Amino acid sequence: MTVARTPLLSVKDLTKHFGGKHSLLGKPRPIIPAVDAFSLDIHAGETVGLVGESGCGKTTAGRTILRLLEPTSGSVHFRSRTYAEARGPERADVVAADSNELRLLRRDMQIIFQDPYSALNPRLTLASNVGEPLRANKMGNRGERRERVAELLERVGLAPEMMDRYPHEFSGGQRQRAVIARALTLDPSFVVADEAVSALDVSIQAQVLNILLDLQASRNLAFLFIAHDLAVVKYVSHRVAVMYLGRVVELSPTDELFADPRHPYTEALMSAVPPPHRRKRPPRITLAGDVPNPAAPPSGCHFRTRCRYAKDRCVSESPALREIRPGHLAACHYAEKLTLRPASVR
Amino acid sequence: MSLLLDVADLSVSFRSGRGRVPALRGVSLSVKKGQTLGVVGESGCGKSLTALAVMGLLPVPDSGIDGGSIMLRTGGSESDLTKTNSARRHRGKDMAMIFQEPMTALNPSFTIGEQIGEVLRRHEHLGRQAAQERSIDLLRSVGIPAPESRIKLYPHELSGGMRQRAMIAIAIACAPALLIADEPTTALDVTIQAQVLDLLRSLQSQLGTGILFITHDMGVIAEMADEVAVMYLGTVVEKGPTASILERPAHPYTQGLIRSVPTIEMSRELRLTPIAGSVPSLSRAPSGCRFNTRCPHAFEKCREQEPPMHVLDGSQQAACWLAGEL
Repeated sequence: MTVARTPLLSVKDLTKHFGGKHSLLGKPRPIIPAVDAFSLDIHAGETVGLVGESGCGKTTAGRTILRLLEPTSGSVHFRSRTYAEARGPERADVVAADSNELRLLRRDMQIIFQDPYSALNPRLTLASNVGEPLRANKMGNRGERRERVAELLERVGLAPEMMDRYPHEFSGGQRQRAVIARALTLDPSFVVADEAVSALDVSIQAQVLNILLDLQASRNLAFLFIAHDLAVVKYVSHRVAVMYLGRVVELSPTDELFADPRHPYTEALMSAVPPPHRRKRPPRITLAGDVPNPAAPPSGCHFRTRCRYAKDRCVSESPALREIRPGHLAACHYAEKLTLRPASVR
Repeated sequence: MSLLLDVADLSVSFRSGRGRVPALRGVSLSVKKGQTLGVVGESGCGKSLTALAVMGLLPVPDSGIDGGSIMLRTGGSESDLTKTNSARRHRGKDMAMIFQEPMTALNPSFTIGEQIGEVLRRHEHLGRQAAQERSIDLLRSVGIPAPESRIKLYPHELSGGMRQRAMIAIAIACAPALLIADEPTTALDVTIQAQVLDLLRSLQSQLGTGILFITHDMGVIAEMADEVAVMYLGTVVEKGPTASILERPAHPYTQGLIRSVPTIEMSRELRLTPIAGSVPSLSRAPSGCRFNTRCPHAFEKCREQEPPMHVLDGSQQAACWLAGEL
C-alpha cells in the first residue's frame, strides 16, 4: 500500500448531531454529538477497522460517510469510476451530491448490514434480493441479471441453484453471504462492513472473513470494517481507528496499534479481551463505570472520567488527535510519555 | 470434590409438525461444588436447552424430557429435577439463572427493587422493609453505585451493564448453590464484560457457588471455566479440564472451533481454517457421528455408528472413533 497516491475516500471533520430542536410537547431535546470531527483517508484495496464500545458512534460514522445519514458538517470526497464516466471529474463531493449524483456514487460505495435477518426482503427471492441493485439502476434484462446473481452467489460460496428460494429458507450464515453478494452486485470499490460477521457462529464467521479477504485481494476492494471484536478487526485490517464517545482517539497501522498503543482507552479495550488460552498474562485493566451520557460528555478529554492516568490538564483541555509517529495518531496529552501495555505479550 | 449437579444421559425432544425431533440426546455433564463448568457450542447445539431442562423451564407442552436424570445435591439431600414440580421447589432458592439479554429477562413494568424483593419475600419470607434493605445490600455487592436510589429505577433506566448486574443480584439473592449463566456477557461490550466476569468470580469465591457457564466465546471459557463440555447438535462431543481441552482438543469439532477463532496474537498472514459447511437442522441430523458431514477425518464407520465417549489420559473424554489419534 503506497501512501503517496490520492486516497480513494477522504473524510474531513465529519460531524453528525442527533436531537436538538423541540419534542412534540415543546420540550427542548438535547443535542447528541454522535460523531465529532471524524477525519479519515482510505486507499484503494485497504481495510480500515473501526472499533469502540456500543454507542461510540462507529455505525453512525459509517452511515454518514455513505450519506445514509445527512452529515451536520464536514466533507466526504470519493474517487468514483461510475461518477467520472457520467460527469467527468473523478473526485466527487459526496456531501454536496444531489440525488442523481448520489445514485451514481452508490454504485461504487456500498454497505453490508449487521443483521442478516432484517437486511433481506423476506418477500423477495434470493435472486431478486441480490439483483435488486441492478434493477434499481436499470441495468441488464432479466436473463442478464440472473446470470450476474449466479456469478455473485458462487463467489460468496452459495450454490446458484438456491437463487429462487426465499430468505427464510436459509441459515444466518447463508443469509449474511447473500447480503455480502448484494453489496458486491454493482462491483463497488468501497464497502462499509458494519458488524458484518458479528451475528454469525464462529465456524461460519471464519468462512465469511475468508470470503471478504479473498474478494479484497481479487477486486482491490477497500473496506471500512466496523466491529466490536478486536481479534476479528486485527485479523482483517491494515489500519485501525479507535472511537470513544463520538471521537477518534487513536488511529494507527494495525500491528503497531496492538504492539504499542498510545491512548489509555486503547490499552484498556485490548486488555479487556480474554485470550482463548490459559497462558500467563498480566492482570486485566478494568475500566470503572459505564460510557458517560453522550448528550453531556465530560469536559476536556472525553475519556478522563474512566482513565487511570488522568491529570488536571485532561479536565480543562481537550486533546487534539495528533501524529505521534508517522501514520500513528493519538488524542492524548501524554501519548508520548505514558508506558502502556501492548495487547500481545509475546 | 463433590458433585453439585449431575446430569446423566438426558434426552429432550420437541414436538413438530413431522413428529418428535430429538433436541438433546444422552447429554451427561456435571458441575462440582464451587467450580465452573463451561458449556460451548454454536447456535442450535442444545446448550441453552440443557440449562432450561435443569431449571425446569422447558417450554410446555411443545417439549419434554424423554429420559435421563438431573440430580441436584444441596444441603445433604438429593433430588431429581426431572420429576414433576421438583425443579420449581429449588428454583430461585438453590439454583438461579442469569439470562443473555437482561432487557427481555427483567420485567419492564416493575422497579429493580421490586424484582429483587420478590425473590426474597417468596423464598426467605422477608417483609417489605427487610426485603428492601437486603435488595440495597445486594445491589451494592454487585457493584451498582448509589443503590438506595437505583432500586427505584425501572430496567429501561439502567445501562446494559447495570441491568446485567441487577439480574445477577436477583440470581444471587438467596445465595444459591448453583448458578446457571446463559451467555451472560454476550450482549455486553468487552470492557463491561470484563467487569461482569470479575464480579461473577468474586461472588463465586465468597459464596462457594457452582456455575454452569454457557458461552460461545473460547476466551471467556479460558478465563472462567475449570472444566469444559463441548456440544454439537444435541450431544456432548468432548469434555474435560479446561487447560487440556484448549491445548490438546481431541475431537475434530473442538479442534475446528478453536482454529476458527482469530486471536489478537495471530498475524494477518495466517489464514483461518473454518469448519466446512454449516450445522444441519436437528430434524435432518446425520446418522452415526453427528459431526460426520463436516468432519475432515470422517470415514465409513463414522457414518454408520455413533461413537461412544472415549476416555483419554486424565479426565478428558471425546466422542470420536479417532480420539487420541488426531
